[in-house]
Amino acid sequence: MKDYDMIHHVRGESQFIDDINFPNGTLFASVFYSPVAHGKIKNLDIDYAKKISGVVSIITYKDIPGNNQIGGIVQDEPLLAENEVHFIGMPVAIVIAGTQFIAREAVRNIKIEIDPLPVITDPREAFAKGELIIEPRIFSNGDVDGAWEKCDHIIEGQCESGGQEHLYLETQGSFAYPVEGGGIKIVSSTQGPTAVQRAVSNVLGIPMNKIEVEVLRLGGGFGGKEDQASAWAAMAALSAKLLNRPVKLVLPRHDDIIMTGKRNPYSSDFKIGLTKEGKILAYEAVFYQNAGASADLSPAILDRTLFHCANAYYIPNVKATGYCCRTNLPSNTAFRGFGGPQGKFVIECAISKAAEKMGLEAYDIQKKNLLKENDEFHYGQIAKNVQTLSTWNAAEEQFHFELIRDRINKFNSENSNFKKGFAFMPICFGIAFTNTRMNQANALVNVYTDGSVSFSTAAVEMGQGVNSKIKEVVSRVFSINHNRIKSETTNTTRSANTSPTAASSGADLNCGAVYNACNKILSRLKISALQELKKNEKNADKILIKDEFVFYEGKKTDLGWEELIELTYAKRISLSAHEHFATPEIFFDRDTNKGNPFRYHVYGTAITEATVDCLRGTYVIDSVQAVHDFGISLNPVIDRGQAEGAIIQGIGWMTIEEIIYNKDGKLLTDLLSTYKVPDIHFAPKVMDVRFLGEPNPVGMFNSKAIGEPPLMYGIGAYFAIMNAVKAFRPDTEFKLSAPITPEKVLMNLYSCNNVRDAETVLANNRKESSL
Amino acid sequence: MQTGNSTGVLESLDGNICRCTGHNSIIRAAQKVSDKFTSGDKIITQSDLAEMKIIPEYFLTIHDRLQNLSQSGEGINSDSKSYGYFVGGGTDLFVQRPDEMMNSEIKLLYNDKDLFGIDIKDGYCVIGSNATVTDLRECEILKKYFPEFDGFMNLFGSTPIRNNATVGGNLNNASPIGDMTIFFLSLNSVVTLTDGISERDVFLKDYYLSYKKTDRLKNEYMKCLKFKLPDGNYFYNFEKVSKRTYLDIASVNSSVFLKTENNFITEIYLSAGGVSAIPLFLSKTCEILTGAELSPDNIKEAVLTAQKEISPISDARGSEDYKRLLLTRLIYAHFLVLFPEIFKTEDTYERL
Ligand SMILES: Cc1cc2nc3c(=O)[nH]c(=O)nc-3n(C[C@H](O)[C@H](O)[C@H](O)COP(=O)(O)OP(=O)(O)OC[C@H]3O[C@@H](n4cnc5c(N)ncnc54)[C@H](O)[C@@H]3O)c2cc1C
Repeated sequence: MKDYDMIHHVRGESQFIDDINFPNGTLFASVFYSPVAHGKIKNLDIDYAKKISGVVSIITYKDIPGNNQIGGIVQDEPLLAENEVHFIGMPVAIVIAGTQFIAREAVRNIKIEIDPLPVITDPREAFAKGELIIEPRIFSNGDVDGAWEKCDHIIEGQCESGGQEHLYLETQGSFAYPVEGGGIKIVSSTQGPTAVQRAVSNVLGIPMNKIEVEVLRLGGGFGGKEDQASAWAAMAALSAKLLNRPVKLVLPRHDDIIMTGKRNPYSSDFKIGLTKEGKILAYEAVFYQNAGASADLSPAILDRTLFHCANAYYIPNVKATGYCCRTNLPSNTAFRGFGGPQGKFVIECAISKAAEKMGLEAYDIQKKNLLKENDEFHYGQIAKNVQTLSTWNAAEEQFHFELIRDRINKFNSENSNFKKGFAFMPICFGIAFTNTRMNQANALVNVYTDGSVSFSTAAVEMGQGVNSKIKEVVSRVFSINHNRIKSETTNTTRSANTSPTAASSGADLNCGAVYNACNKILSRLKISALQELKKNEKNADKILIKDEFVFYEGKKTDLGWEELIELTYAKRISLSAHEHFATPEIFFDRDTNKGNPFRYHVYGTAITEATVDCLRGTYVIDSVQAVHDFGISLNPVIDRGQAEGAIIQGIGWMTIEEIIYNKDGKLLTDLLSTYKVPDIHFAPKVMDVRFLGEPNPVGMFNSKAIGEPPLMYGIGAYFAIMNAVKAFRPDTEFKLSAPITPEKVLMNLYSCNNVRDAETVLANNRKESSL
Repeated sequence: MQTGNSTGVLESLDGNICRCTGHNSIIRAAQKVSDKFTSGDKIITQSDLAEMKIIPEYFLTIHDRLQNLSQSGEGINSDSKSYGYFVGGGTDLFVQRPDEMMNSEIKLLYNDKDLFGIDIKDGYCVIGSNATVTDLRECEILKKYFPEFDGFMNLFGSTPIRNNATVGGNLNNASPIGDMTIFFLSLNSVVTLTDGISERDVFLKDYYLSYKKTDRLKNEYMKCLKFKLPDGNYFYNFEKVSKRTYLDIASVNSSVFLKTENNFITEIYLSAGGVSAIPLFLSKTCEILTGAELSPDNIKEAVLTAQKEISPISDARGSEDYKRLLLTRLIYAHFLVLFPEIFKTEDTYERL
């Protein structure tokens, strides 16, 4: 089973924004951004830049015909700075020129004077100064305060998790051109076409029906284009509208890294209480989320942190508090896992520290507390079809956990320069947008008179293979070959009011809508077939289309797919359907923070092994072995790829992907020479992901969502490395701070218990790296 | 591509970034292709691949078309009076300042035949400034005298970068963490500069004046690098630690060359990158070690001396504390690697 888009990729035929043949007269945009993290604009001098030959226009907020506002959840994000700037990289002006090169040169010649204001980069400082974007959020169950006295051990601590640059290979970009009647068409690299349409409508002050957004496919999104594609689309549209010319805006990599937000870093406090056997009775966590300059999606991300703060464990008394803290950094945003990973990291830190203090193994505490069937989550949902223990036991057995442990112990007793460590990482991740209203999709399916089929949905293809999965659904419902079926672009005129392709739910929602549309057509085809076979139209249940032929009462007839379509058309029966899907049975009360927010959960268990070079502080991740709850996969090749890719991306977040801002709010890791993502050598030599194989009764053909959940196995890499360091230095008071870079490893291996944490790294006022 | 083994597969893919981090699927796919060709000893050519429709036909003409292109470039001998950028492999210049290069006068050194070649002359190994990392890794002289060099430079960039990055570019970039620079510093190398007419020699350890500033005059370029071919009982080692092991710039790197007699160091050159504004030759540390016995105490003293010679800054590649600690570790690593029978890891734990 293939991923069909890959064939175009391999041949270099796939089109991205920068590959579109732009018409004659297209202009190019480049963005001038604030060089200062916080301040009042005293003077903006664009006169010199404007005179550069080839420059057509320089646009500022004053030129905006509608509202200078693109905020989604909270209206707190201007498209272009007015009088104040709030982060380095905040767009101030758009230069439009005949070539990209000239546009960039003009940007370099814009001068700005800014009266600086105090800069906050640390969420705890923002909290202390009352810089909260929304009211604090608290999720709880049981009675945490009353539970502590029943605990034999209470362990408290603090931990940090860092940001993560999306580094989608296709940078942010849009191509916009005016169409008749004052409208605009935008080809955008976005996960959320409707979000783009709304933002452009607001900025231009024209209704949504005059704005058509088209998405071919993305060269990666990872959440970075869920909300943050809108600004660039709005700038391209604004320029196209004002100049009445086609305008292309594609961010150069350096601009993209500086101007766009990343995964939210968190600083968190935890307190965990256990019986002496290791049963967790109470857990309290406070999350200081670094949101950046505006809300963006951070409030929703914070909610998911609170939903997933107990990971795959049942804890009777939980209290989780989240603060969405405003800082002078680019607005942080969705990134695969959407706050879930940040929440899970903290409970794993708490368990690891508890194990250390109590002299137990972390995996014993983990296993003892795994969620069971019918347990109630702290947000009120009852856990169903739970696969925690089943995946854990399968991982223990299939990967011979005891052999791994004994082999590592033996290695560590025989080697002094190298030490090995391993860690278990169970996961439990809820599927659905936690904002219930977003759980809907619509789809258009057309059957053409030659028997070929096309489908159009809200799903945005970004390498995750969603269109191949939808194709599988079309193929199964109609029982026709894949080669008859084609996916169309994602377009707001065909699929209106769409939710972004996000929350791992792109396949679930859009397969649902396509399934409904195909069934609508199928029921008409059945009637048509009955008529043709001269049978009573009430006998629809006796008709079956199988392998491109009509069967009646189980017997194959001579009526084939193409003929059936042709004659259905002749009977003037519609061969198209536009249908809707809304995820059933989900609800959530945001006042009590209780409900049934998720359609189902995805489970799994991974074992990660790492080797640390204790002389130099470097490490390798030797293996990741997981048993994952895929449901019955719609496409095992795609799902395996998604799982493996997510795991390594998660490991990257936990290990070498380090975002460093200095205290002036300047990003120091703003190039690929300083921001390091996993490369081919970094990939674990052993990557073994097994399919649990349990059906998901509420999933499309028993399948499960795959995009985000496996990323959280990457957290195991942090603890595997930590355990290896502890094998070298059992006395070390390990600072819980991710990513665990070779720097932090070496400092933990050798310094006198005073490893700097993320805060001091920030405060360290690092300089720019030499080249 | 070197087929049939996983190293070949990895090397032919390195330098590519996959942000879906689908590395394991890519490796499996490449291995599958590679396995197809491992029947017998047959070397697979590009035309075989084109015939099997694995690559498009036009790939076969790329080499020739590139050859034709390079003929038209302007060489060093152009009589233009202004002095623009000398371009070696361009892996640094065109990455760091793409826009500026578009408008600047450039002098392409890779057309200059005099700058190629790696030879032995009067007991010296002479390396033309156009020699690439790959040239050096493949050259018989280095293989003979420094068989480990190939492995050290495996940590330099990626295959495509190594195929283009020149010695001239690495040394004249004057980056404090250039890998070749640090290695050749420890061979006490000499650079030969020329303005096209006359030539002069400068010791590499005296070449770097301040951050990104060398002793080279504006109209001069580097012709070659030379170092004395070692004889007798010599040892060498190169260490590099970066955030990501492959395809990354060092946080700290260090190189050593030494000769011994009866467990005494008779001659030593030690260099370190990432710990100062320039690629650093640790002269005081070398002084302390020259004539010293190979003993844990003496290395400890050398390590402390090195700390006084360096002045690392905190940046994205590490804090000052880290770089100080790391250099200490790497100096110990040199001796642990070279003299495992004398030094034990436990000897190096002084900070515990
Ligand atoms: C992806 C990537 C990875 C890299 N990894 C590494 C690494 O691991 N280790 C490392 O050390 N470097 C690395 N580099 C940096 C760079 O590739 C090297 O420094 C390389 O050796 C530069 O050589 P070049 O011939 O390409 O230099 P160029 O870009 O051509 O020139 C660099 C500088 O040297 C000057 N110059 C070139 N030749 C001469 C000459 N003969 N005389 C006088 N001046 C001259 C140029 O004017 C310029 O200032 C990497 C770069 C990239 C893009």
